[in-house]
Amino acid sequence: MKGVPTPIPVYGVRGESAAESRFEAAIATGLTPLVGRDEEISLVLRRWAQAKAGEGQVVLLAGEPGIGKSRLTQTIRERLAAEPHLRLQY
Amino acid sequence: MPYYTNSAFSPIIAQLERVARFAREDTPAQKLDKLEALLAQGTAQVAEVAPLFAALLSIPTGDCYPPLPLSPERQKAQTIAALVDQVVGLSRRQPVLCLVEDVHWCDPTTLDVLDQLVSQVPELRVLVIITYRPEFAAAWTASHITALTLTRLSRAQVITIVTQLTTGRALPTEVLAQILARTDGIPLFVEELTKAILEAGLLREVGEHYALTGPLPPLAIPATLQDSLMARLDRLAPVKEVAQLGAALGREFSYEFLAAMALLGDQELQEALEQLVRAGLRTG
Repeated sequence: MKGVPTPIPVYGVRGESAAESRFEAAIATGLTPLVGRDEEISLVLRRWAQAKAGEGQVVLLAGEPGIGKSRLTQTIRERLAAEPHLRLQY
Repeated sequence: MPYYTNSAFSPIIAQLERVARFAREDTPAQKLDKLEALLAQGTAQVAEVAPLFAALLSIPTGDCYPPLPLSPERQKAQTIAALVDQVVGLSRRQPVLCLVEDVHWCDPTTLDVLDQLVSQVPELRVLVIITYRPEFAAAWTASHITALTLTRLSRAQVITIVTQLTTGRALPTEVLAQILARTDGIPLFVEELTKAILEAGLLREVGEHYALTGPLPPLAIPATLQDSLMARLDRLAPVKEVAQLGAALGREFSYEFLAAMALLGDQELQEALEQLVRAGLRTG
């Protein structure tokens, strides 16, 4: 119908997402479970237990691009999600 | 740490602005209020450190605080100390998990903050996790510091990832062999290459496994994630043209404008846009 305005759907990039890290932005489309990092996860969780008890700890996590550094920290965050703590993320 | 930076404190500034919930339309006075509320969680002396943090975040303090009578070196040193003190104060209230990712991209001043934090951590309820690529020469060693290096995955672990992505369907032997050979045990490459193969139309489902629809072309691992994204778009042609056109048009574009530019039929264009949404490359 001529002259009758019809709604025009607008497509576009919605802008930068509020994702806190590069990794979170990249995985928004779906994620497979972490494979082969059980030892690293339990080591980091032991360090967390020590830190909570007042013996502060530092874990240095080195690895080439794509090896799973962000994925491991993401898993640690998920494992600690139920515990009261404050997360500072840079 | 989402992007490369070489300006001082920049990952820290980005974190503070995020957790203080600054909005673009906030006036300096509103930002200062939010900043003081944030600082109060980690210190009882907000008025003493607020001018340092305001300067760090480039918030004009107007008449609220006198100008800082400090040399640049003194101001930097006091800012670093105040940042570490915040973490100390926060950790008195609850355990703190501090994630500092991709420090190979970090500016030297932020590394100074990390140095001081790392040296104070033994007395605190704090776990600091610092990630970086192997070329970053981490100089931190002490009894409270554990260094881990993530190694490449074994053949069996690669197959586990592939099987998760194919939801249990076995791939043809030569396809799996190519994935194993090309990805070298790098989990991200395993995921990207497997997804690319599943999208490429090379396979059809036959019962509990996949079969090749034709001869297997040589598979290549994209050199970077950017390449990987383009490779996934290539599988979606002519969708790729629509995506590139959409990107060229800017952050927002109307369907009609895109239709006029794309020289595709209405149905083709609709299908292309829907495929981009499904592939996670467009927000809808």
